[in-house]
Formats: sequence, C-alpha cells, structure tokens
Amino acid sequence: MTKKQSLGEGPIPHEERPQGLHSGCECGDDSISFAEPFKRGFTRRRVLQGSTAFAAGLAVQPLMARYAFAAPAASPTQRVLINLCFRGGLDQHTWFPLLGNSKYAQLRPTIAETAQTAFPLSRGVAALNEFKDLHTTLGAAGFGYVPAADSQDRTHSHFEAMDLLEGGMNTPSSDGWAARALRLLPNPAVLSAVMVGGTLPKSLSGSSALTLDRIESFGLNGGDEVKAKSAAALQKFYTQYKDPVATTALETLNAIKTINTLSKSEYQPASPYPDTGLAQAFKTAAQLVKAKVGLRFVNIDMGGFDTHTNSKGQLHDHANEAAGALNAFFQDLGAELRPFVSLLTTTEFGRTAGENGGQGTDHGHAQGVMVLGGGSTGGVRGGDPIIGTSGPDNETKGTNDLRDVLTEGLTWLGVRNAASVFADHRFTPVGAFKK
Amino acid sequence: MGRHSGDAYDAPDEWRPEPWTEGAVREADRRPGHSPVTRRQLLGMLGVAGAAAACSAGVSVVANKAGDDAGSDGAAEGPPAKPIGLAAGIAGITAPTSDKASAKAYDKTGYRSAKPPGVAAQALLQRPTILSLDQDLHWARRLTYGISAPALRELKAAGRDAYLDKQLTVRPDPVVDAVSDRYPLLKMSTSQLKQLFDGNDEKPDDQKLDYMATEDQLVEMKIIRTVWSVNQLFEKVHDVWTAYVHVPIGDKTRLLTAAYDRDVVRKHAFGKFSDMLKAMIFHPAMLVYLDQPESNGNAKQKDGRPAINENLGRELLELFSVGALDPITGRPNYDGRLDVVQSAYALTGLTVDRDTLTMKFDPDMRYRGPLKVMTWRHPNTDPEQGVAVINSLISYLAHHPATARTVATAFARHFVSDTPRPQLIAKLAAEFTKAGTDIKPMLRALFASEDFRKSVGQKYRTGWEYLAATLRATQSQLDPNGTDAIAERQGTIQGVRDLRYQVEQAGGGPHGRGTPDGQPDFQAAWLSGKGMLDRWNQNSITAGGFWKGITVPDGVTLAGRPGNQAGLVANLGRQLTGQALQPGFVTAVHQSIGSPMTTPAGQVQDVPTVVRTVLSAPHLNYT
Repeated sequence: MTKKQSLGEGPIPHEERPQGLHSGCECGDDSISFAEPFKRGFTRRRVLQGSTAFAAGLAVQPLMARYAFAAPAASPTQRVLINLCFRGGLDQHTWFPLLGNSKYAQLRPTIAETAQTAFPLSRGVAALNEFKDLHTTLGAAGFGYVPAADSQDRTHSHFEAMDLLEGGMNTPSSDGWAARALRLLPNPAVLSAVMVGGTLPKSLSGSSALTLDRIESFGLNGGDEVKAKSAAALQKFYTQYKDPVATTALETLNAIKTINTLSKSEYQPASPYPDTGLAQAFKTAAQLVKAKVGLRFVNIDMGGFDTHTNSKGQLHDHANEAAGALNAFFQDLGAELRPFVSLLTTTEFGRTAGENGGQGTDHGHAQGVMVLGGGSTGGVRGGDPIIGTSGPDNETKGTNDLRDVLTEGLTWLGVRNAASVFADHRFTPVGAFKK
Repeated sequence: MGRHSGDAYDAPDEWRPEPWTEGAVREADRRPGHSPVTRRQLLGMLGVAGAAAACSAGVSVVANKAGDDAGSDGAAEGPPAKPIGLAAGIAGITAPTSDKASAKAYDKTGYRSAKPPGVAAQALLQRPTILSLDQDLHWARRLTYGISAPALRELKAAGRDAYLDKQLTVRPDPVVDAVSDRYPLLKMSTSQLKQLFDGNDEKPDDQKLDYMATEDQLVEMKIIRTVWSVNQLFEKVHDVWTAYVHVPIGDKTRLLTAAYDRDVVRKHAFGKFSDMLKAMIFHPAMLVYLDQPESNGNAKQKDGRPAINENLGRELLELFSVGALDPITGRPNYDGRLDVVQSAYALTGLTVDRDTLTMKFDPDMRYRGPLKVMTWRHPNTDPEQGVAVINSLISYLAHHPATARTVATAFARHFVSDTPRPQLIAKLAAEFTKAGTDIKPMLRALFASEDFRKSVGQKYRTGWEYLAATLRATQSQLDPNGTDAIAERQGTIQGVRDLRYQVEQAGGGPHGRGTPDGQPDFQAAWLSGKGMLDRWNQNSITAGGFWKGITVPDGVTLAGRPGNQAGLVANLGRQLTGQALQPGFVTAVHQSIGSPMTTPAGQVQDVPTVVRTVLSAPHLNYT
C-alpha cells in the first residue's frame, strides 16, 4: 500500500503525527525528540560546500590546504599564488593597528595595540611584533599590506560573506573565483587543483580539484598493497579503449603516482617548521613548489578568527602561529624560489574599529589584506582607511576593493585577463602586486 | 568560454565504429601493445604543456613533445591536442555545487557559463562504446539508475514494451513506504511546517528541531528513491523536471522546497506540463526563491522606475518555458528586455503570506495596464482579476511550440545523449504539443526512436547517479534497523546521510544546485580527476558494506557461488555491469588478485577488493 503522500492543509491530527513531533498537537506533548537538536554553527553547515571551513571559523579549527597544479614548464620556474584564508573575520586593527591615527586608542580603550606591541610599517600603519621575524625574512619590499579592502558583503553573516568572498565578491555565483581564474592560465592544468581537506572550497568549485589531505595519504584508499593493485588494475582498464573519460582516468592515476613519489622521500626542509597544523600545510606546499610538479595555486584556511570577546590574547596567539608558519615557509623556499611565490590573505570581512563591551570586536566591512613574497610591492598600499565616527560600530570604510587586489595577484600569477574573473566589477589598480 | 561546448564527438582514426556484439573480441584487443598512453613518461605527461591528453572532442592522438617517444608506438601525429583534465573548466562549464546558503541571488556569469552542448546535426549512428549493444541492457541502464540483476530479470521477463507500460504508471513502493515514517516532514504543508518551526529557536537545545530538517529529509528521501524505488523511470523523469523548474534547498527557501517537490514536481511529473507550470507559478517556494514578493507593479522606485523585480518574470521565459534561444534554430524566442519586463508586470500581485507561508494575491501590488509578452496580449484592466491573467499567460507559455522544443531537448539530453539531433527534438516536440503537453506520449516516442536505440553508452553518469548505480549493481538493501543505522540522528538513516555527504563532495547532490538553471546534464560538467578518484574510493566503501544501515551481499554470493576464481570474476563482471566484461578487463582483474584463475573461490584473498575492482571498471561510468 502506498502511504499517504500528503497530510493536506490545516492542523495535523494526533494520529498522523509520528512520535516525537507532537509540538502544537492537541495532546499537549510539546517535546520534539525526533531529530538531533541544532547545534549552533555545526550541524547544518556540515554538508555545505566548504563546511569544515565554517566550523573552523566558529568553533574548532580544522585546517585545510588546497593546491592547484598546472602543467609545469621546463623553464622558467612558474609562479605560485597562495591564498591564506582566515575564517571568522580577521580583526585587522589588532594585527595591523593604525597607531598613527589619533582615534585608534580612543576607540579601543582596553584592546588597543601600542608602540610596545607593534612595529611601524608606513603611513601610520604598524604590524604586531609577532610579524617582525617574517618582515626581516621577506624584507620591506616583500612585506606588503592593504589596510582597507572592501569585500562588498553587507550582511555580516559568515555564510553570506564567505559565499560572496569565494564566489567572487559581486553576487554569489555557482563557481568560485579561483576556479574561474585557473581556467584562464595559459597552460591550463592537467589536473587544475588539488586540495587538502574533505571539502572543496567554493573558491575552487568549478575546477577539477583533487583532495589532498597529506601527501602521504593522497590517492586511492586502502592499504599499500591494495592501493598498488587497484592502481594497476585501473591503469589497465583505462588503456583498453580511448575516450575523454579514459583519458581523465589515466591523468588522475598519473597525478597520484607523481604525488606518491614525492611522499616516498622524507622531505628535508631548508629551515625548521613549527609543530602546528598551519605550518605543516605550508611545509607541504613548500615541498610541492620545490618538486616542480606544476603547482600554481594554493588555498590554505586558518580558523578561529571570529573574536567577539577577549580578542587580544587570541589574536596574538594566532599571529604567532601564522607568522611562525609563514616565516618558516619563506625561509624554506630560500632566496632562489622566493621571487616566484606570493601570498595574499583573505577573510570574510574585517572588524569594527571600535571595541564592543566584551573586550572584542564585531563584524565590520573592510578588511586588511597582507601581500607577501615575490610579487609584493611592499609597504602599505591603496587608499587610506577611513574610520567612521558615526554608526554604532565605527566601521572602517574600505577605500579599495578586495577584487582589485585579487585581480592584481592573479595577473602576477599569469592569469590572462584576470579582471574578467570578477565580471560585474571594473578593475582599479591598487599597486599591491608587481606586474 | 565555451570553446568546447558544442563540439561533436569525432571518433578517432584508429577507432572506427564497429558493431560490438557481446563476446566479440575487439580488433584493438588483438594487437599486442596497442596502448597509446603507456609509454608516456609520468611527469612528462603532466609536463607537456597543452598536449597532455586528447581533447574533450575525443581526438585520439596526443602530440608527444618528448622527442624520443614520438612515433615509437605507431600513433599518428594529429592536430595539437587540448588538455582535458580541465574539461569542466575549459569549456567554461562548472560542476554544480551544493550551495544551500546562497540561494539569495545568482550571478548571471556563474550559471550561464554552465551551458550544455547544443543540439547537433549529425548522422544517426551508434558511437563507439565499451558497453554491450544489447537493447535489453540498454533499457535497463537508461530507464533506471543502473542495472541490478533482479530488475534486469523483470525487464527481460516482461519484454521492453510491457516494461515501459509498467514504468509509466506509479506503483506502490515497498522499500520507500517502509521508511517514509522516518521522513514525516515531507508530508506536511508549508503552513504546517511554519507552525511546527515557529518558536523553535526559543526551545531548549535538546528539544529543538534541526534548522534544516525539512530540506535534509527531502534530499535523503530522494537518494533512497533513486536507489531503491521500483518506480525508476518516474524518478528519472522527476530529475529532469526538478532541473527544469528548479528551486534549490537553502536558507532562503527553507520549509518550502519539500512541499514544492511534492505538490508541483512529483504531482505532475507524469502528467501535463501545463498543470506543472501553473502549480509552479503559484507556489510560495518559487515565489520566494525568485523574489516575487519584492515585485510591486504599482509603485515606483526613487528614480521613477517601477519597483518590480524581474527575476521570476525573466526565468519564467528563459528557463521554465520557451527558453532564451530556440534549441534547433538558435534564434531568440523573445525580446530580452521588453518581454521580460512585461512578463514581470504580468506576475505582479503574486506574493507570499509570511505567517502561513502560502501564496496570496495582492491587487494593490498589481501592475495596471495592458500586457504583451511575445504574441500574447491581455488588456489587464482589473487588478482583482490578476490571477486569471496569470493563468492565461501560463497557458500560452506552456503550450507554446518553443516550450515544446525546450522541454524535448531537456528530455532528449537526459535520455539520449548530450547532443541530441534536431530531428529528434522536432519529433518529440510534436508529440508533446499534440498531447496537449502531456509528457507520456513524448516519452513513448523517445524510447521508440532510432536515436534512443543507437545511443548505447552515450551518457556519462553524474556523481550521485554513479553512486546509485553501484549500490544497485551490488544489490544493496536498506536495513534501517541495523545496529548502527541510526547514529547521530534519530529517525533518519545514517548511511543515507553519509551517501548524501559523499555526493555533495562529489560535486552536487539532489536539489542542491544553487542557481535556478538546475543540475547540469552533460559530461563535461561532471568529468574530472577529483570525480574519478571519488568514485574509486567510494567503491571500496560500497564493496566493503560500510554504509551504515545499507547491507551489501558479499562478493561470492553476488557471483552466485562460483567454483573458482575465473568464475568469480566472470560472474561478478556480469552481475555488476550486466554484461560479460571484455577480455582485457577480465585479465586486469585477475592480475590484480594475483592468484591463478583456477584458485577455488573460497580461497580467493580479499574478495571485497575484488568487488571494488570490478565496480571500478569503466563500464559503470556510462549509461
């Protein structure tokens, strides 16, 4: 017997209700035991694209790094762009305090940074002392910062903002800006993107990204023997005939072999990495860069930046971790490879210039963007940030657009006509990246 | 973008279409060492810029820039090949995303870049395929989500015509009915759901209903139906309609999509499209999704323009009826500005009562003035009679010949091939129109067509179709009372939730497509290295029976308890793919097992991996 498909309109009679769903029923049993209670921020986000990232931003901090490969040229060395994404909304006024602005200390009576905790960059912008070593490694010319880049988000919602960020900052789209950009690389990749972590970030969605947890564990699952036998069988299967499916399969198998070859030898970095998840992801990235397998684009997430309360301690810890990983990474690359690797940071939104009642800050609009490495022009770039005096949260108005910084980064990477990645936006140079 | 969209499949030189009867050994198999790829250097393959692989048009030859290899395997040099691992990307086609949170707005660049390849003029011939050309197998594959031995037996016993008759009626569904109690939200109306969830936020955590419970149930039930419903053809047709009049799950359409699926799509999937379109335009899910409540035809914005929102008016023309361009001629069907605006005016007054989540008509928001959309006209004098005017427009659009062609294209693309012939489209459209937009005569004509007969193996399965096919092939059963079937979430089935998570990782599951154009239905959107690796890895989960609450018979049972390894592999091949695997594939399986073919079946090591290997044969990728 086919069960009834619909209960019709009107209130649902008691007999029709399943156990545990009698809320509002005439029997008066108000409990809903039917389904697991909604844990704020986790359950529903589990199945979203990039969901682990949201969880990262709000609670636990799983780390994800994603790598994109392109066909390696024999020479010259190809450029690599890294997007370090801070999930939660990085407070740029802690990491890069506007010490030169007279309002700064007034707006943050308890959590302001000072000349003792931060060193000057230029134009009234300072950087936390945690970044000093990194600054020395890169040099002033390799350490750049754009203080107020607007991301077009107006909702202050992590979801919407992250979606906007990854989609391309105009309107949420069905593919990501990184994916669109990778398609415009001159030697488009055999396998355009490889990523670490279980979920494809939206920025890379639309690219054929592979998952890469760690190099050692990438590929077919199963024990070593099973893996080898499975790979051999698949290789034979897909050489029995030829069509686009077979070709894709064979390329995938080759990519697996390549990456597994890398993992066989224990990687000896030129300089030691701290023992943090973020540093390990950068270590893997360095290994891939040095192996010259055609790495072009890397996406690494770092969570835990939604600092509504007691933000100072957390942000200093994060700065320590980030700076340590970045410093180890750029040192490991060495002077020979540093010119070819750039890094920029993104986050959903910046935070308010003024502190809230809980020694923290709330969601703002404009964000600060770090531009590090070979493609950076160094120094503080772009228009001045304007700290609003009106409005409940002392917004930092962006005088630059994040899309412009991204376009410059993609252009430096070698993406042709990078501005077309952000279709609804007219590119205005910021000067954060070299050509 | 779109360089490859519309490319016809050019059979490569060394692969001429040849009749492929079951058991016949392919010419290529007889030539030892004929393997154009095996001599490639590993990194060289990755490294040869722009020449790494055949292009998605299927040109066979790879220009090998590594000089020492050129010509050594006898492969002729062809035109420079285009890299294909980015097939999805190169063609400007995006894999779909499961984009629950972002149904707020959609970016034209995003979804229009996912254009399917067009209707293509071409000869009517069976293209090369590794699948058996047996028509019973072809029907079993194409009219269901995948061959399962019991379903194939049913088809063979009844004969194809009788089988089609049975599948065109919706029969009672024992497996689905058995679990439907666990998905009660799917039976409720939107106002009942609203009532249920009102005040949910204030409840203590252990009494709260999951925020997205309704949407989760909708998706999980679709997965269950995909694999285990007896009404397989209905579910496939439901897929086409879901993409056609698409409303995604998400924050914006929360509490609305399950009712929409039931009352608009499922109710009319085997009926008349004119009824479906009418139900669609008045359903709160579609109205909310495309912002119709914000469309006020009787007010002006600050700059003097009418305060209408064009989304629904535009998509009504572009996606849900006539389509922007005629699929056969490629000519625009309507004026992209004027007709869209008029369509938007025509729909004003439709809005949603937020307290009950039901449609309401507000004459105060109705545009006043005569209306004209394409060749439809209406004086539209009385705002109170707006619903009747809308009915008139819907009827015009539903019965329009361009709509017939667009609908026919959607079904031909799903059931025949990515690039259906214009003659087929025209024939199906004629049936559709003759039947007054009833879908069944068109379906009959489709399955009776020569195009369908000669389309063996021409469709590449999407991520979740592949997963469903492997579950059907292994004759998996739903066991909701299994000990670990209900883990975190009471009521629903853990394994099904995991299946859903798996398919969403693979690029998109049911109802998930964030943009209104619906899930793409062509190979380039789904073919990727990541997708392949996902398929191989999930086969090990399936073969090992690790989906919680879903049982899979062991390999020896599946193979009918053969005597030795040779029988095991041969029978597994036949059970899982429906056909005898070609010798090259069989040899590969034996080599991966390692032991001799005469090994007694009971002594074959690691049978689950054998099952996984056979499942991972290329055959299940195609339908």
